[in-house]
Amino acid sequence: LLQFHQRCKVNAVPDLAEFELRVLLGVLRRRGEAYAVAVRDEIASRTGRQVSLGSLYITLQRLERKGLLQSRLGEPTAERGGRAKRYYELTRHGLTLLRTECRLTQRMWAGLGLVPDER
Amino acid sequence: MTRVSRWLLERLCRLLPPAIAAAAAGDLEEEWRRHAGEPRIRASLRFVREAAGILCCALRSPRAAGDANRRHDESRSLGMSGWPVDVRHALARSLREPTGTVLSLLTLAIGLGAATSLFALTNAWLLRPLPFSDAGELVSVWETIPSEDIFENTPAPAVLFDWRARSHAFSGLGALTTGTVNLTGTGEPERLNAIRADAELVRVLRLQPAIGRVFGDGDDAISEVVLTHGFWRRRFGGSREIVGSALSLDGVPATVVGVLPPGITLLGIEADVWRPLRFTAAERASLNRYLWVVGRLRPAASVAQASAEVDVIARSREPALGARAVSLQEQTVGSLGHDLPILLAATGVLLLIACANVASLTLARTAARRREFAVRAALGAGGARIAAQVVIEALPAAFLGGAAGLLLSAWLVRAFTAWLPQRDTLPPVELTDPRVFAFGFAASLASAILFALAPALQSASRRTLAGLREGGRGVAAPNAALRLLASIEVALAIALLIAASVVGRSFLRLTRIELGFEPGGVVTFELPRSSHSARDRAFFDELLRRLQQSSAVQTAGVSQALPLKSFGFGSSFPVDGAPASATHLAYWRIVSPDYFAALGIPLKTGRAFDARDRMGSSLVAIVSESYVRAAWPDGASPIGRRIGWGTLERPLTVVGVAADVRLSAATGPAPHVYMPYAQVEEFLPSQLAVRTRGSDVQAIDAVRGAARALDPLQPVANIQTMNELAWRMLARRRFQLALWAAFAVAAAILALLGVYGVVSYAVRQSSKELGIRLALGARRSAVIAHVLRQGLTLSCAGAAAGVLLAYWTAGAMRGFVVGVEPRQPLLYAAVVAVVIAASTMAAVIPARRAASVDPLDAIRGD
Repeated sequence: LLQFHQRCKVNAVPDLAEFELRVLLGVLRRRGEAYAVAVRDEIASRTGRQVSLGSLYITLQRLERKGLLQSRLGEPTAERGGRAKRYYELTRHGLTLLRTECRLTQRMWAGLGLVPDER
Repeated sequence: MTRVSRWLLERLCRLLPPAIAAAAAGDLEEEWRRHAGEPRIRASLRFVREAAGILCCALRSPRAAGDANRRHDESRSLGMSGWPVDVRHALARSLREPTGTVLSLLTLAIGLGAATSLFALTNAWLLRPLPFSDAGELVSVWETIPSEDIFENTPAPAVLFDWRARSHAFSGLGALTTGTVNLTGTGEPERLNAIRADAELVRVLRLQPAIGRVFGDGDDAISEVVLTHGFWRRRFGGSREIVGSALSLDGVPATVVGVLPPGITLLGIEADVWRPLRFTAAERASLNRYLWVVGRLRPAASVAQASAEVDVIARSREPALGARAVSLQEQTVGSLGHDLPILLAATGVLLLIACANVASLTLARTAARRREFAVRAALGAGGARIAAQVVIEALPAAFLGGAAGLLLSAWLVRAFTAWLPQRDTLPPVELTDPRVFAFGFAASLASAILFALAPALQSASRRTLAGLREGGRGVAAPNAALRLLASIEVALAIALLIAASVVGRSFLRLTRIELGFEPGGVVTFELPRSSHSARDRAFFDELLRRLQQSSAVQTAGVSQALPLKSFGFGSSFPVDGAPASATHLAYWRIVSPDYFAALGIPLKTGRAFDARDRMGSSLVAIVSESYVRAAWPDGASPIGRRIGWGTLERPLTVVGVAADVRLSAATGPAPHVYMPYAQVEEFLPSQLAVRTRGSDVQAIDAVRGAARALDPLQPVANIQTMNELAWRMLARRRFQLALWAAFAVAAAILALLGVYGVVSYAVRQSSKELGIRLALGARRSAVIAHVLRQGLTLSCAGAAAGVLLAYWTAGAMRGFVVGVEPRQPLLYAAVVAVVIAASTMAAVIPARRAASVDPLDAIRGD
């Protein structure tokens, strides 16, 4: 019973913190080449906020454990001192969650007329 | 990529969870290359910052990837158990707040450094045994004359043999005496300080040589000599061949049988060689008091027992006398034994101030974490658990501070011993002693508990709900205890600074003291002669004549005791025609005619000695001004008056009046009576003063050359300039000044850090209030002024208390300082102004931070 209870807790759809959301979106935008440095650049260029690599790793790992991201190792390259990149991509679960989040947020913003559409 | 950053990168990889290690390192390296165009420094800083950030996150994050593990770890870090997590937290947190961390480390390093170095000194001089085996059993035994307050009289052989025969507390009583011998034959002739020790002393000390052997009991031992380690290294370059060879000591051959280990000193007697001491039957009964006695107690006997025993024996010989035994350790350390505990107490206070400082810094941090503690408490962490966490988090800082303090103390100890007047006779200070390490460790641990205590108690007692609900909204001023601490620190610092400046002024005054003669350009020598024969007298006549002709020498004079070099002797000089009861005490000096010119002692009236004053002509004297004032208070001219040396049987006619001369810095101008050495048969001068014509070195060569030309075996010893002697005379004062200054400056630095800590705590606590003020339109300058006012209140309250404290302790200061009034309004004002200015500067940093608060951020809070 206890194990079941714990699994339930793990599998329940978690709330996303603001930074987690940004990281997920960053990974999505860089689809196919989303490793830490690239995600950071994406976030920096879009929000103007500099993110430290350390906090990025933590978040990426956490999201992976939540089952929203999955990762694979790429080829080692010389410019990285012969070390491989770890590429991240969204899982199906992660994509669903993003869609839900987006829909919910849009509903909340709808009709307020505060922010003009940025298309 | 630089070598350092590559090294860092590899270290980092090992610390990181394996899942991300390689990728993170790769990312870092890629980043480095991307910013390759940047200046090296900026790139390095960026690299270090990123690496530290990754490390922090890695430390906070669970190492294992599994969810269950993470859950487990998180529950631990939420406050139920697990000190490794606490330590990790502490490290991560200190990396995130570098300013606070550096401040705490600096403060602790100062406090712990001072404490550790003082302990190292105490350990070396008070706690560590002397360099003899079972040194705790060794005592020195003195004769006492209670009626004259003399408690360290050297006993006579007759007394020693009585003690040996009748006492039971000692397993042995050894005797030694000192003397000098002239070493001739090999190389430059030299005057050596010798310890003459009897065979019993060698047994009592259990003296083991470093090389060869120590002289034995046999009669042939009388021609043996043992070298001290220092002399062996200095004179013979540490050559082992010297053992077995013969030296000429006072013209008599002596065989070198061994060399003593380094650091062997006894009763502070400086010696170059040890020679055997033997008593003839007549000498055994002698009542000449010239022996130092060192005994070894029997295992069951105590110092007090031994003391009582020798006292009884001494009284039975002569009721007016007594005797006492003192542990050799106590004897050797002497006055330092009284000074060091006071110093230790002072460093204890310093360490407490340091802990108070770090406590305030820690409080500031824990205050920012109230919510965290509240959450933990809500989740079931007990008060004790949270308190323990705060203490454990303090440990890394304490031990890092302790390590830094240990490094600092290496330097402090060297500086301290270099200033110490009696440094040459004390055992060396070992910092690598395990006891010093143990002390440093214990002090760090204790200080961690001390400085974490207040924050720990406060965190533990915080009401859970209040912490949660309030959300740090409080407009709390720093709590009263903290402000009190900071004010006390300022007060202590001001009092110490005032004391140090008073000591400094008094020292400055001493350096400008009127000695009564001109010490500049004078070099002094010792030229001991073995007898007082006419040949020795002729030696000085001829030496002075030759020096007068030398181009390197202006004038040269001799005396049996030069000022600053030795005190010489005093005697009563009764005045002819005055009542017999009026004996006037004065120091007497046997001098050559040019003595006054050589030392630059001005002659007030009359004439100096000259060729007229020779053996057989009428006896003459020159007296000093204070003698004149005492002997002829009516103000009449003393020239032509007659005085006597001890008695008026052979009266001396006063021919001149010289200025008064000081014998040392501590004593005032002393009355003197000078007599020409040509007229005094029983004494011969041995100290030479030469006023040089420019170069000291040439003058020294001239004296050496002239002395050797007259007598190739004549040693020329103790060559010192008068300025050097004057400087050395101030050594003790200089040492005191250095100590006071060091304490005052350390206390001042710590007090400023304290003010900084409290003010920044206040700013952090009231950032919401400040944000509201800014949002409501307060000008930034007004916010800065508001914060500065807080700092100013602290320092002004402290200053007021400090001035009162200084005023109150000024009476005690009078004992330390010479010729300076300790209560000087101007000095007080200056010190207060400096401290208040400095502490205002210390408050500027948090004030600027307060003014740069983003109103929105501050109000929104967490």
